[in-house]
Amino acid sequence: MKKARKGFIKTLPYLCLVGVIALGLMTIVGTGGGGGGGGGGGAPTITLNDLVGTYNLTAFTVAYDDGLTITQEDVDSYSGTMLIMPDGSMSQTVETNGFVVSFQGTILSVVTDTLRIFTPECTYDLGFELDGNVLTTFFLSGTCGVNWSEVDVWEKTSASTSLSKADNLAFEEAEKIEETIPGGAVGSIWNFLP
Amino acid sequence: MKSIISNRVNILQVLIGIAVLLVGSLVYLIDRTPYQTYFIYRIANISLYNALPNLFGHIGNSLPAFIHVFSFILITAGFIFCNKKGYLIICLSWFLIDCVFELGQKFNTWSSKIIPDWFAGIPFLENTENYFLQGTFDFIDLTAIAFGTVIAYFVLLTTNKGGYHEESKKRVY
Repeated sequence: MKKARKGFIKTLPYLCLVGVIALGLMTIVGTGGGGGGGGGGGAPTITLNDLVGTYNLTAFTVAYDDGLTITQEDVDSYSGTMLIMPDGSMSQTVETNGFVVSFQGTILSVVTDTLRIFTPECTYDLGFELDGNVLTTFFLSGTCGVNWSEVDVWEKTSASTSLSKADNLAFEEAEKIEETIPGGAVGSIWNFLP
Repeated sequence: MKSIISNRVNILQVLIGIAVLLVGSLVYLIDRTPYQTYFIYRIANISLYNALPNLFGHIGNSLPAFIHVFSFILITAGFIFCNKKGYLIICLSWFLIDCVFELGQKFNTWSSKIIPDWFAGIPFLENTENYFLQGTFDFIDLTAIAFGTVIAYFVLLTTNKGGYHEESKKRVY
């Protein structure tokens, strides 16, 4: 018994060493590292600041891999609001035919024509074009495992990120009467239709 | 290895390491959006971001790099109770580990390729690819790692009273 205890005490520092190393590696990976400031190189033409604001959805085109294509003209009703905050966090709510999808994410980087967006489920690249107040986003099939491509056209209604009273009321009404389903883009709605 | 490791624990070093590590975690709890940090949104599920004012400002960008290497050098050294040479080995080991991970962010196409598929779905390991692809390489982080290593070495020397080195001295005289 004494021998076993001695042996355990002898191996304890090694066990602690392994544990501390494992914890050290886990904290590196789990925290995502230091994440310093921006690097060098040419400055992107569009920055996050240019994108900050409140947007309304004005048009969309969803092309499913099986050939079906849906646009805003194929639905009875649609609306959408997107907020992009100065710290990169963004939220989006879209309603079509009474179904609501919404998601929240963080813009990790804005490089020329691509936004890298992080959500707990998936990190992905979203192509974009900014022409005045019109922001067009391009979502490719296969991204995050979806089976459709999507082009959304958003019009910036305000450089402010607080929703107007009317928009707030619309959000509240939507929450009361409409069905919320999983997914973040317009295309995910159609997967739930018969 | 035996000359480095003994079965005594330097509690002071371990406690300093843990305390500093906890301060470092405040950067992620308060100053960063929860979606930026895997252990916040997946494990801890708490965030004080926007609930409290920004605590560390610009220093918060590279403070975790400093704190990580500093803390783990102290915790490791505290647990394995070693001499000066051992301290040096521990410091260099953690310095190299942190530098390799930081450089992995610079050469992220290569580093993301060597991550095995079975990491997917395993807590923490599943975030390895994101760590390399989404993390930002920064020379300031490398400087912070080097600085943390040097400071930790000196803290180890000053907190070694009654430790392995001191005991060796006693035995000689």
